[in-house]
Amino acid sequence: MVVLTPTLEVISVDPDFPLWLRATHLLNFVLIGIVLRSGWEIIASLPRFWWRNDCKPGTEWLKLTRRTLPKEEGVYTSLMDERSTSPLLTLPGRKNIGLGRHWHGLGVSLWLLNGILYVVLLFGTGLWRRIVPTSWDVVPDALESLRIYLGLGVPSIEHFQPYDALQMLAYSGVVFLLAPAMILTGIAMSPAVRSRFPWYVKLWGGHQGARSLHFIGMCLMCVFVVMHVGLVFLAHPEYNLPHMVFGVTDPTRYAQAFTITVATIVGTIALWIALSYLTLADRARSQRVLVTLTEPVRRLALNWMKPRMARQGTYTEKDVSEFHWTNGLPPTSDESTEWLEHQQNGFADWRLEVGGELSGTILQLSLADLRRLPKTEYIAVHSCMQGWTATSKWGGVRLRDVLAQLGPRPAEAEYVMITSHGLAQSMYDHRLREPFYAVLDLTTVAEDDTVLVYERNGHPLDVHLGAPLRLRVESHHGYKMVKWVRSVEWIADYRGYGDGRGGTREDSALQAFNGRI
Amino acid sequence: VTDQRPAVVSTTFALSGLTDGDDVRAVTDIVSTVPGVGGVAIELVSAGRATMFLKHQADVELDRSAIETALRSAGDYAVVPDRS
Repeated sequence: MVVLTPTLEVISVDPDFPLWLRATHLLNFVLIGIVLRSGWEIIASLPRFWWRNDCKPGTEWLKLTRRTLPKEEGVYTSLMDERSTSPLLTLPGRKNIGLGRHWHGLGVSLWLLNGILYVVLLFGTGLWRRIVPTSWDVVPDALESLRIYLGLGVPSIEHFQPYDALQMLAYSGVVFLLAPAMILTGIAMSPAVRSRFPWYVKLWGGHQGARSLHFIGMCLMCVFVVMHVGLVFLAHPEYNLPHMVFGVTDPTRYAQAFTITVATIVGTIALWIALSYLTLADRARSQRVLVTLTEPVRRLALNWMKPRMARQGTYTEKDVSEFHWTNGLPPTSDESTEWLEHQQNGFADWRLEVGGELSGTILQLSLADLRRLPKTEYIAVHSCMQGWTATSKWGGVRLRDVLAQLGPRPAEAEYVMITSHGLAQSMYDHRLREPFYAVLDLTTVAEDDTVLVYERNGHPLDVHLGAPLRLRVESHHGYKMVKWVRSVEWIADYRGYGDGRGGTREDSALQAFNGRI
Repeated sequence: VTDQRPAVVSTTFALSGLTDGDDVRAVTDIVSTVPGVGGVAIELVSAGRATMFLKHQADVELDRSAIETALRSAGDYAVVPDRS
């Protein structure tokens, strides 16, 4: 007779793989997919990369589109370069850079929080010694592991304590170099950061240097993810998977761990794709939710940065661009015959309407009237949320000085609305187009570098860039900067205008009202 | 300094076959590739009918047959006589 004696063997969690480590690892996997997929959505809107900061077509170091562009400046728009991608690949897909940017911001914020928690716990528990090399022996050991992998072999299990030298170098590189570089180059693409700390952006080679390095970093991250996941299944998976899932060194639980890992990967990919379709199901609702979730980060991190382009020496006349993209062409006869008449007349009879219902009056200011107001002049980089940039010397009058012509701010006035002679390129629901407009809050209106400009590079403003008057809001991306300005007025709230999101780009492209990143 | 860049004008087309945002995106994408087109705006007017505004240099005449071919390649879309 065989007597079965119950064993009391309890396999405890390996101290190298505690629960917090496994949880942050899993969360990192979910979030990195959101960050990468939304990043690809952003790339699809302008699939070109430059080192030079005027983004002149033909000078790209990498072009992921076959579209060729005319040589003439100002006869096509950057929006024409935008590519529609499948929701299976990008988040959310189908030419939704606004929503893609919100997902990117949310994903990065959570990824950063998760990463900080991971690093703090890594050092707090002493587990940093597992991944940070403390001896130069790591180099020859890593080369030995690499030699074995290149020979399609796998280093023996003794190499893994718990990681081998190549893993230590790769993990340290990703955690302490690549991930921080991605964050730092991402931040450098914020106009709020650039207009407050221009030296920081120039440190990366300007906006385009930061954007290109960000892209290269993304490629390296993708290579790492593919190799990392691949090797988990190829190099001693009977140890890796129980470590990762249960935190134990117990190859007998390999089958269980394998099943759970595969199910988790499939489930996570399904979640990524579901997020795309959920976002596209009601794009306006998605914008509301995502902007609500990301706005606290913008307020906390960026709203305190006040632009000071007129007081900086980082960008000089040497930086002024040869070329300037635009994402809207001048008004045509279907949009404003009034503006066309003014253009024919050299804008001699053009007037800026200042005021409205709240002010109880409307002033009609000519270009000469505007030139009589205090002039501000500075060199600044214009960045479009699509990714292109151009540097110009702008000359004009501060918006707050123009508004001061109306007298004190009306008590109910909380915002300023700037309207164009041109129409929106498309409406959210594709109804008949309405005039392009943007709304600014009081904080932005008060900034030194919120300006109505009538000059660029020392001459009257170019027609394709907004003549005779355009808005500059240096702390924001270009989508807030109305060209071919017709009127400026105080308003109590923006919810009663357009689709109620505070501007044409917010309404139709679902950008955030706060355009500081 | 006078702005010497080419003047931009728009040419308007009445279209059939467009009913929603997917149609607008498909047509915008394909027409954007037609040589000479600098900007595309589409308004949905009534069931299946739309107005398309193409911006281009004033001295460039758009190739109507190229636009029609592009529309056909994107789906069941066509240029129709303007009834407005």
